Amino acid sequence: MLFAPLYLSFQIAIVATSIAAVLGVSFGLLLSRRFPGRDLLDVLVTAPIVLPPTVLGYYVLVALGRKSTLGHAFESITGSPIVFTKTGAVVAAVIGALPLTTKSARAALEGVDRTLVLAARTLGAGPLRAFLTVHLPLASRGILAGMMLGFARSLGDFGVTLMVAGDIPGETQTAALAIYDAIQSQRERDAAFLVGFLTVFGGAMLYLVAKLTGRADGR
Amino acid sequence: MNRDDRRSPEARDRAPVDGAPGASHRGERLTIDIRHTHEKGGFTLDARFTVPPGITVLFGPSGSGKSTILASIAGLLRPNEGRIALGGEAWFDSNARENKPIHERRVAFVFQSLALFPHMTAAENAAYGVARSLGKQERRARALASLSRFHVAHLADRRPATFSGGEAQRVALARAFAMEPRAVLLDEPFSALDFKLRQQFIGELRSAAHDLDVPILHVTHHRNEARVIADRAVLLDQGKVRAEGPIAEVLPAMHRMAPDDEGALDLSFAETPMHDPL
Repeated sequence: MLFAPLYLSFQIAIVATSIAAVLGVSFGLLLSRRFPGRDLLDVLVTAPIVLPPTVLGYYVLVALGRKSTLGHAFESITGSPIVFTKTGAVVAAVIGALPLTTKSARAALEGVDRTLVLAARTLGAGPLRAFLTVHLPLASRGILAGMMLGFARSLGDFGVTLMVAGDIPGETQTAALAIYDAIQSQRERDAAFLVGFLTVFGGAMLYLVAKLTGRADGR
Repeated sequence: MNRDDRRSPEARDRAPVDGAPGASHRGERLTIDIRHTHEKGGFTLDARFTVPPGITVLFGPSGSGKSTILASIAGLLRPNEGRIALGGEAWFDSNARENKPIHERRVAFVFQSLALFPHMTAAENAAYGVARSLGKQERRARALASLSRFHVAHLADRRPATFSGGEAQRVALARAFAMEPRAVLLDEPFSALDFKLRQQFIGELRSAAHDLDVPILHVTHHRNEARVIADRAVLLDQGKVRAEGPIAEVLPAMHRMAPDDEGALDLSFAETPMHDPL
């Protein structure tokens, strides 16, 4: 009973972190270059840190709801809507994790000596091979740190998940939502168990991230 | 002298085969004829010279445009206008709107910072530029052969963080020569070495250059280093070529250009390396 929301939270967080990592590295790479609209992209990616969850949830419902173009297209292809399903919970979790994965990836990618990437190019590597074999591996520590923060963040998302995925036990009731339910129905021991677990897990993540990024060099 | 006349007929007839392992590009000349003004202002580079196979020193004071020329040849920088060609193949031609991507030029660039990949062993570094069509074993074999040529085969499975300055230098040269480059660019490769190591390196580099037989452009502002290592020299000042020719012919002009370089008459080298940041 108590493990179901935790298990669901981990499932959602793993999928969401993978998506947020790929998007974060792509945006991080994009943001480390000059192009028109760079500041706008930066604001869009960072917005989830400062905007109220209800505002973000509203945008997701408008953009991906059953009547929206994207939501309708998704439903006609997969047979299941985005909102008020696990998919919606994943979307909510990605939104929470994305600022963290993007910021870390950008800093890590910009921290790699550009001469090394150019050296790879002069040695015959095309842009993609130079990125995959030199740029990305040398930035991997920072990217991994961002993924861990993003994972911890998406594991505990409450507001946006409630707005776009609801609070359906067994379907979208994640650990954070289950705590709220437990308090509402005065199951305080259940709440305390989940609170304790999420606290320890989040703390451990922060500790590991600090260890990971504390050492200056990549070895 | 007309640049086209200096290209050998064989070089003109031979069709270059991009990226093909073992494809020979020996004997071809590198011709440079570029103009470039830096965005940050300063002088305008207006350089025209030829680099035949063998070692040519690009000599000039800091800020004379040496690094801009190297970056243009490698494709790291796009000059405002002009033409850069190896044999009959244009790498950059502002009239024809040609600008070959960096990785298709196969120019080995030994950066002043060496730019060894810190997450790879010496063997992996040296194998990085070897044609990937050769397969893993052959690539490693070529990497090891190049490492032994520069006397660092024993470092093959170690990473650059553990190398001494001289060892890192040797691995960087081994990496550059292992790829069978069509031209080699050396940006003050000896600036971090002491006098004794420099002398050793010059002999090794000359022998490797002889075997490779492609244009090698070696940037330095040490007159004695230039005299010992090079077949030819190009003197650059304020973005213009002041003299070009066999080293013996250019030496007097070199003396006039850098009268403060120590050790003008003896064979020692300047002990204190000067730096010319890229």
